[in-house]
Order: sequence, then structure tokens, then C-alpha cells
Amino acid sequence: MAEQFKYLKKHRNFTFILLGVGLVIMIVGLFLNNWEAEIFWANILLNNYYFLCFALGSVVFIALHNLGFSGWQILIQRIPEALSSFLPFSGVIMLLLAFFGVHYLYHWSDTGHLDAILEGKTEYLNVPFFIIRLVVYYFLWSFLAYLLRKQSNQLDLDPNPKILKRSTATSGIFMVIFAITVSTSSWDWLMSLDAHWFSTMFGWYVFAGMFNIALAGIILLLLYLKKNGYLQEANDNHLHDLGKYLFGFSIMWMYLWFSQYMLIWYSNIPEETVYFVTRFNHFPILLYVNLVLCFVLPFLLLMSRDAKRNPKYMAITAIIVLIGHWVDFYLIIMPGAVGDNATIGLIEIGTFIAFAGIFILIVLKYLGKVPLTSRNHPFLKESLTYDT
Amino acid sequence: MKSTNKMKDSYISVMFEDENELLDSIAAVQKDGIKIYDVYTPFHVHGLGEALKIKPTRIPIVAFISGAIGTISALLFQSWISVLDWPINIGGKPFFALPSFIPVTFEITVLFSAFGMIGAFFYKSKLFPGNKPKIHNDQITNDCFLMLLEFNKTEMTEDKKIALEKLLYKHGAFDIEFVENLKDKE
Repeated sequence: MAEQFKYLKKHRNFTFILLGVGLVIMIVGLFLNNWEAEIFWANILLNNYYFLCFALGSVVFIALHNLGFSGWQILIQRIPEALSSFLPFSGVIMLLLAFFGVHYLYHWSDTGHLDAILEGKTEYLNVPFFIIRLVVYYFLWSFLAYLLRKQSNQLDLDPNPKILKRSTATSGIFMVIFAITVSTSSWDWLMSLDAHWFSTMFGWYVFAGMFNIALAGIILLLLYLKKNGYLQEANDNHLHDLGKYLFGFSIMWMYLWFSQYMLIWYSNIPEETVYFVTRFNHFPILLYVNLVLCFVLPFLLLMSRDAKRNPKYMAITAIIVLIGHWVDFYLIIMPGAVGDNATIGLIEIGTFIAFAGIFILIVLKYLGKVPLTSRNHPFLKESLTYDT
Repeated sequence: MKSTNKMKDSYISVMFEDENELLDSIAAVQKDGIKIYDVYTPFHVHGLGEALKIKPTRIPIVAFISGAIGTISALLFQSWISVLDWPINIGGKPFFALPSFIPVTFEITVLFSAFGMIGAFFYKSKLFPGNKPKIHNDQITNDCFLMLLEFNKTEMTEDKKIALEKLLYKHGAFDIEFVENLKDKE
């Protein structure tokens, strides 16, 4: 009999408390800020994108390993699958934002008052096309993630290699679509906040952050499950590999961050430097905190083999990385959306807690519905005897 | 002539066709208190290092130190060139323009780290040109696994020999040979 995660009342109550507390803090914060719609929508965008990263990065994780015919992750594959179940909800929030919040966030949407540069971009940056693209992205992502989950669940009942082949094909299609849409969606939702500014590295840079978030999420959920007596077969070796991923992608993130920075610094063209000038002048502390949390600390903490095999160490590093990338997305979104005076106050914290509540609710609910490991998966033995 | 020293002077080479048989017999032989001189495999066998109780590799330390040397020397060298030795004004940037040094520093770090590791590995495993390879049996470069046991000739009686042979055959050995002189001991 396959192991089953028990979705208990305490989980539901905990997430409802998070949601309630978050909403209250957010509303108090909005009240103190004179109900400024700009700040509200910017926070919705920030936290929605942040939690979307868990879901989308997890689908990449699944697709990547399906395509590589890898076996070590079979024991823990239900964790990224559960994380990916957040996608449709995130789509609904994003659609609401596109209908009601777009004019507060994106000043290219104000078609009456555009300068020559933004006039030239209207063929891509206009509200109807923005919404069409958004729907297409979310439809493709959610549908393919759903297919991957379904095929994985089918394997539980019927160990047919044909399903595995179909799953590999789905992963391939997802990867091709994702490679394009992760760039274009980051231009649409994040880069166009600073509508005059552009960077060709932006999509990759956002993706590196996204994958880090998803990995940290997978590590934390795995450790939570293990601590509560589930998935005892997943041992240090699996944790070690996740740690290697987190270590590698922290360096990858820094590599892309620096590549983007150095090209702009070197060419020193005002229309490009404006992005970093704003952030260095008005958010200097957050900028350095971001670099330390996203690169310096994970780089030093995860360097040794023993660190990657130690659950406590890994949990702390994963939390550091999660905080770091929240700050990273804050720095991407807030200066463009709210302005130079953006702070981290009650609204930011409240929205984050509320989103975390909904996210955990959806993920744990999905996890409770399916067996925790795919017992019939042809690669399961490889995962059980895995050794690094 | 009597051998008085405690050095082990005789060896048994045992061949296996399967890595699991090898791991099984390592456990069995260790239980009997016979010393394993070395094990030769055509590829990496998971769990072999733990079974032989080999100390964890110190390659990461070498990698870190040589990488750090790379970082420091690359930064120092570039600073010396562009600040002291031959300052050139490039696009109004300061002479000590740290961001522009980073890519080279990164590459030199990787290069030094890799060379340091390769050098240390070759040094420790004695893999340098002109060195005679330790191949006791040609089949270990193909598909067979070889375990070398060492023992003291005076202590190994006929009874013990027979018992050991029986034990090894039971665990899947297909060829057992008593060796007086090892190639790498010459």
C-alpha cells in the first residue's frame, strides 16, 4: 500500500489563520496608506509572481527529469507535482490584475499619454494583447502541468511504459513552450513596469531566480514531510542532489545578475543605466541584502558535502534563499510600479502571508489526494537505491 | 631464511565478474580479519569506498585552496596592470574598475581550481608519464573486478588457505591465484 499524506484539520486551520492574519494586516496597511491602489496591485503582482515561481519552477523540475530519463527523483516527484497545482489559482489572480489593475501598474497602458518611445512599442505593449498573452501562457502552463500530473498518477494504477513515453513527450513540449514564454511573460509582467528600459538578459535572470525558489520550496516541503514521518525512504542522497541544484543555481543566478549589470555598467547608456541607478540610489541596503542572501550565503553555506546532507542546514539555507529571492522580485517590481519611495511595510508583509496561506492550502490539499510516491514507476528502484 | 618482520609478504588475487559479488566478499573477508591490500574495478562501484573504509577524499579542499589562489592572483594581476603598470583611460571608467575584472577572475578561478584538482589527483594516484601502470590482470581493464588480499606467509596454514578459497568461491569468485611478487612491489 502506497504512503498517503493525511491532510488534517490542523493544516486547514493553519492556512486559514495565515490567510486571515495576512488579509487583516494587509487591510490595516492599506488603510494607513490611504487605500492607494498602486501599492495594492504592485503587492498582488509581487506575491502572485513569487508564488507562481514555486509552481512553474516545479513543472520545469519535473519536465527536466522526465526528459533526462532520470530516476533519482521518483521518490520525491509528488512534491514538485503538488507545488505545480498552484498554477490555475495564480492565473485567476493574474487575470483579475490584468482587468482591474493594469492601469495602476503599467503606464504603457495609458494610451492617451505616450511618448515617442512607448508609441513605438504599442504593437506589443497594449492591453488586449497583454490579456491574450496572459491567458495563453496560463492555459499552456496549467494544461501541460495538469497532463504531467495526470500521467504520473496514471502510472500508479497501470505501470505501462507507454504512459512514461507520453509523459516524456509532454515534458518536451512543455520545455519548448516554457523556454519562450518564461522570457516573454517576464517582459510582459516585470520588465514592462519600467516601460522605457529593456534588457535582453532579463528572461534568463528571472528564470534563474524562479528555479531557485522552486528548489528551495521542494527542499522545505520534503524536509517538512520527512519530519512528520512521511517519505522516510528519501534519504541524505536525495537531499544532497537538491542541495547541489540549489548551490548551482545560486551561482547561475549571480552569473546572470552580474552579466546584466556589467553590460549596462560598461556601455553606460542612460536609457539602460536608469534601472540600476534607481536601485542603487534609492534601495541600496535591499540591493546588497539581496546579493548576500541569494548568492553569498548559499554559496558559502552549501559548499561542503556535509552541509548538503544535513537537513537542518539545508532548511536554513532554503529559507535564506526564499527570503533573498522575495527581495529580488521586490527590487524588480517595486521601483517601477510604486516609485522610489516604496518601503516594506504592513501591506507587503500582509499580502505575503495571505498568499502563503492560500499557497500552502492548495499544495497540501493536492498532496493529500494522491499517494506520496509513485509505487509503480519503472525507475523507482533507481531512486530507492540512490547513492551519490 | 626466516622472515622476522611483521610485513605482509604474500598476496592472493581474487577475480569477480559482478560488482555485487565483490561487495559481498569484501564484507565476508573483512569479517574473517583478512587484510585487503587493494581493489581494482573497471568503473566506479557505489558503496566500495565505504566498504573498504577509505578516508573521504580531500580533493574539495584542494579545489577550494587552488580556486582561492586563482581568485586572488587574477584580481591582483589585473589591478597591477591597469592601475600601476599601464593605466589606460577606457570610456572614462576609473583605473580600478572592479566589475570589468570579474569575468577574468571568474575564469581564472575555475581554471586554477580544475588544474589544482587534476594535479592533486594525478599526484595521489601516481598517474604521470613514465609511470608503470599497476595492472595485475588485463581483465580489470575490461569487465572483471579484482581484489588483492595480503597476508603473512608464515601465518597462512594450508587449512586456512582451503577455508579462505571455499569462502571466496561461495561468494562468486571465479579465479583465485596466490601471488608472491606484485608488479608494483618490484
